Amino acid sequence: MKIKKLIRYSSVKDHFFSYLYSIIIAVPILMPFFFTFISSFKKTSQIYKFPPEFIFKPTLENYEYVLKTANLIKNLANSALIAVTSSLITMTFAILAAYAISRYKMRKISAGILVARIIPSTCFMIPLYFVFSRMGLLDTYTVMIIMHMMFSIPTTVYICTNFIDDLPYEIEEAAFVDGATKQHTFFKIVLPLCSPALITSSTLSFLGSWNNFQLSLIFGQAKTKTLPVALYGFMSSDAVRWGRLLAAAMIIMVPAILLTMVLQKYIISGLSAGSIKG
Amino acid sequence: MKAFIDRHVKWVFSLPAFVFMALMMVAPIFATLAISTTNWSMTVSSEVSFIGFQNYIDLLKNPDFWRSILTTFHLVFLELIGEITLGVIIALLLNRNFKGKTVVKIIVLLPFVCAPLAIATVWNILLEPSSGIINYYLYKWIGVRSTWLAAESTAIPSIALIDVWQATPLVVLICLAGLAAMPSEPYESALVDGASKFQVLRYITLPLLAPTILTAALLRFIDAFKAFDLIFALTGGGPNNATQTINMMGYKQAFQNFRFGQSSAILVLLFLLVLSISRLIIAVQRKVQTQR
Repeated sequence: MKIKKLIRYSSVKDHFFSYLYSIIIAVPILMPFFFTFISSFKKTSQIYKFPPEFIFKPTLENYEYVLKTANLIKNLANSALIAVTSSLITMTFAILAAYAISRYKMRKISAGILVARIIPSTCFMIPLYFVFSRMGLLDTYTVMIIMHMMFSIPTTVYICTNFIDDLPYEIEEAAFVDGATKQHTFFKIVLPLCSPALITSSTLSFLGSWNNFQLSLIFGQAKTKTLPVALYGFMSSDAVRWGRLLAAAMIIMVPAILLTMVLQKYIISGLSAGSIKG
Repeated sequence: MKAFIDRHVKWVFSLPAFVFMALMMVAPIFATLAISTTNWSMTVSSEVSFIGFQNYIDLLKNPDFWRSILTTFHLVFLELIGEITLGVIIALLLNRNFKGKTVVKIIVLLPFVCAPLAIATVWNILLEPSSGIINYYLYKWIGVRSTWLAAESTAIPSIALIDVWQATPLVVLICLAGLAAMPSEPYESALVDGASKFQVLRYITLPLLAPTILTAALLRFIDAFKAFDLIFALTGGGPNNATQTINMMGYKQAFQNFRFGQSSAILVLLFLLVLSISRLIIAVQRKVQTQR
């Protein structure tokens, strides 16, 4: 009992400090979000007013402008389509590969995957850009999905391999003894057990694709333009219309924030995956 | 068919991912290496020809390249110092049980899950030198203003500040996971010996946490060294190339100046730098772990 007290505090005084620390940590993190949220509902003239007003008549004109006039709704659809498709395919590839790597101890290959995580993506861009433009595939959904998969496969394979490493092998052995094929055992026994890893890795690869800018900038143009690239366009064309910029930023951030609220447990386990084992 | 898959499940399962990665990563890396030995460029109409190490020699003589290396290290150094220090402190403060801890964890996570482009938009507006809200309050409360991202001297620290705001969560999460996995025996004997809270922190918690901190540092180093989105959207490498990192220079040479040969040489050197420094950090980490 005493030990626990030394590590994890529980008295009233300590509870007070827990909340004090929480506030000290949370306020600087939340202020920019709060500012963005408030300002995205202000008219341009109100945004430039100092000191900033917190009570005002909110307007939806910024959102109306970016979504309808600037057609951000189209970019939103592009982002969603590319993020969902690429993470579904990534997940399929990753869980299968992770099973093979983990159960057949393909350690050299898992080291190779770590190296793939390290390399800056710019290092592959020139040859890929050249090949895809020769094939006439620039600005197609196919290429955008492929590029975003390239970005997320190393991380997802890594997360899934770590997860399967921790699953006991005995259940599978029992199935093999009963005469089940390897693939049947995988789909009927291992895959259902992997659902936490699948949620984690699909969430992370969705977020990675949703937030990605560089790959979308290089390989997409008018037709497949994603939200971050569209926002970058606003930054140069509508630089002084802060309300519009911030409304567009909100539209990118809100889905990610909602996803985090629902799936924080999975996101956290994915981000700290393997960090304990080293 | 069924029997075939059963017998070769190892390769049937792993092949899709391997073939994909081989085509999309391994082949392009070698292609980039090959391109870096040519004078391939869209601006010069001459035939593409093999020029050996000329691109590398040109680079090593180019002051802009050396400046971009310096910029990269300057930026990464500031970011890592800020993120590791803050991250460890926040993790230590949050390493206790209280109602609503999950809410705090979600809040801490928020900057990290948001698109760098959105974050850059928000901070560009917050830090606007003449009409931004941060300069307004700075001037009102303590009578100073900063040029933030708009001047050469303050641009790098400003980017580092924004990166610290966005990426510290990763360090916090990794350290929290490390703290949760700590053995309780050392704490028990510290209690028996009557160690103070500070002594426990200094002689038990921090040394035990060191490998975890190094892991966090390694992950942050990798991402910070190859960062592109945030810097590109905040300053685009400016003002006056003050924030042009190696990665940014490689990108610009390829996709703005269309000098593919030169750009490939930059990217090959970037690749080698990231790889060797990562290996160095991993070696240090192994040493720390075996000493324990």
